[in-house]
Amino acid sequence: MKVEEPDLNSEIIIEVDRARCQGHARCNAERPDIFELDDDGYSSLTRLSVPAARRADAEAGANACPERAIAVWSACAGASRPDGSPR
Amino acid sequence: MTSIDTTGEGTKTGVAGDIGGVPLRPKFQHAMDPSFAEESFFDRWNEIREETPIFVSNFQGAAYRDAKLWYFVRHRESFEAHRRTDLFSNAGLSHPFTESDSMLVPGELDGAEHRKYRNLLNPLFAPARVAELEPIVRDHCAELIDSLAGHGSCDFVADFAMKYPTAIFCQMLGLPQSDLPHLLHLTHIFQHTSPAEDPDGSIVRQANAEIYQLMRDELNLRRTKPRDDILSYLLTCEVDGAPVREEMMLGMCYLLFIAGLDTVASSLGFAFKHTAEHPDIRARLIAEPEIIPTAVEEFLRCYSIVTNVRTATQDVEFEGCPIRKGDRVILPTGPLGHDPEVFDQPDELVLDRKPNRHLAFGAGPHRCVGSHLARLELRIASELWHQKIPNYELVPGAAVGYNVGFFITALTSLPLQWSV
Repeated sequence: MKVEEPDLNSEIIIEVDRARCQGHARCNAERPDIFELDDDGYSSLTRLSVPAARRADAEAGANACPERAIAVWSACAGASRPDGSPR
Repeated sequence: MTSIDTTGEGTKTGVAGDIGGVPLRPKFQHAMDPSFAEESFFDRWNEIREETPIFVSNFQGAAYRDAKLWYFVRHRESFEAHRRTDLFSNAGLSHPFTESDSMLVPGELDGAEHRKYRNLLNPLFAPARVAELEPIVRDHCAELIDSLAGHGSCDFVADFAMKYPTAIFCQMLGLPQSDLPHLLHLTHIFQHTSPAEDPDGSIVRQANAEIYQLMRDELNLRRTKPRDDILSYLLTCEVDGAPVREEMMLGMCYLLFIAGLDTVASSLGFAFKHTAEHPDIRARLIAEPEIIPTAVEEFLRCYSIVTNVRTATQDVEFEGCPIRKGDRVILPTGPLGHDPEVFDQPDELVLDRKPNRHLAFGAGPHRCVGSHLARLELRIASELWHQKIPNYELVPGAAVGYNVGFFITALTSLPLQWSV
């Protein structure tokens, strides 16, 4: 899955705060095709756009993160973290 | 403002006075507190979390006479404390109450030094590498279960839960399986020795020395004849452009030993005690084995057995606590998984619970490096045991053994029986 310019109507954005990632790898366990890991087992993602149809998959990965390092944004909606906390 | 009431009587649940407004539990130390005995362990933490999510103790250990113990037993503050390695250091964590020269590497390092050594271990325990171990783990597990199946009963802890991760540890480090009995003996000492049995720590110190000697001998064997194992790998590693010093290699071996054996054994014990006592849960694991990876997370949440300990690097006001440099911050993970602020139905075991952001493996830079191996071992054990010996139960009337340790709460015996 490659990084693309977000399409305001059909894309959502996944952001991983790499400084917060501690290699729990729960995102990868949930949705390995979206949340790729490096050789050390830490997230290799910083920012990724996926089709809006995959929003639930993106959120499943984000909600699995014990460090709360993953945010999922709708490119056209108000920005909030998946757990509802402010950015 | 500070008021210290050290009469020790206080209220029914042990609070007496405060320090800087933080509730004081005089002389409290969870591993020595009778209210934590046996099965009430997780329930007692729940009570304490509800009464005093943050509290302080003036328990005095030999190694730090004036230090306070600050307990954070609710998820939100514990999570932050785990992450603040700048304020709360891991140095000296392995021996909070005695002096010792053995050191866990990288567990007892902080910041940039921690990362250097952690980076050596990370690739060995990354999910993709651990997945390659599945056939080996499966073989060891199947062999052990097959050897027990015909007996109709066993002590699940001694006969399975301790042997299984220890055999895999031997294989990964490249130790001969003939070392297994000796390693089991040492693991047994760590898991079963209570403060009452070892008041000056000499029994555990002797076991430490034996681990160090064993690892030193094995490393020496590989200096001339490298093999395909972790010990040989460590001999090839460099930090800051130089080979890793032997004391640091031994510290890493010591960490893998201390952190990897009785933790998995204990987690297995609590999980299988639960399934032995709940036929409905067991029936679902048998009928829907695909749910086991999720179930493993739920067992880890309900039975988080590790207590993490840090030392304050400076005077700091943290979450309302006037913490002084040298004070200890005590972070039991047991009560975190039952925190209603984070989990719905926190005291129910829900096999398909998602999301499940438990902190059984800690959080922050010191997140358990072996977490993915532990998960694999727990998953394979659950899969194979429920295939091979699906209908087990506790031996009626037999005692289940516990040991509430400072770092690890262990199940020390779990007598199971089944029809053959």
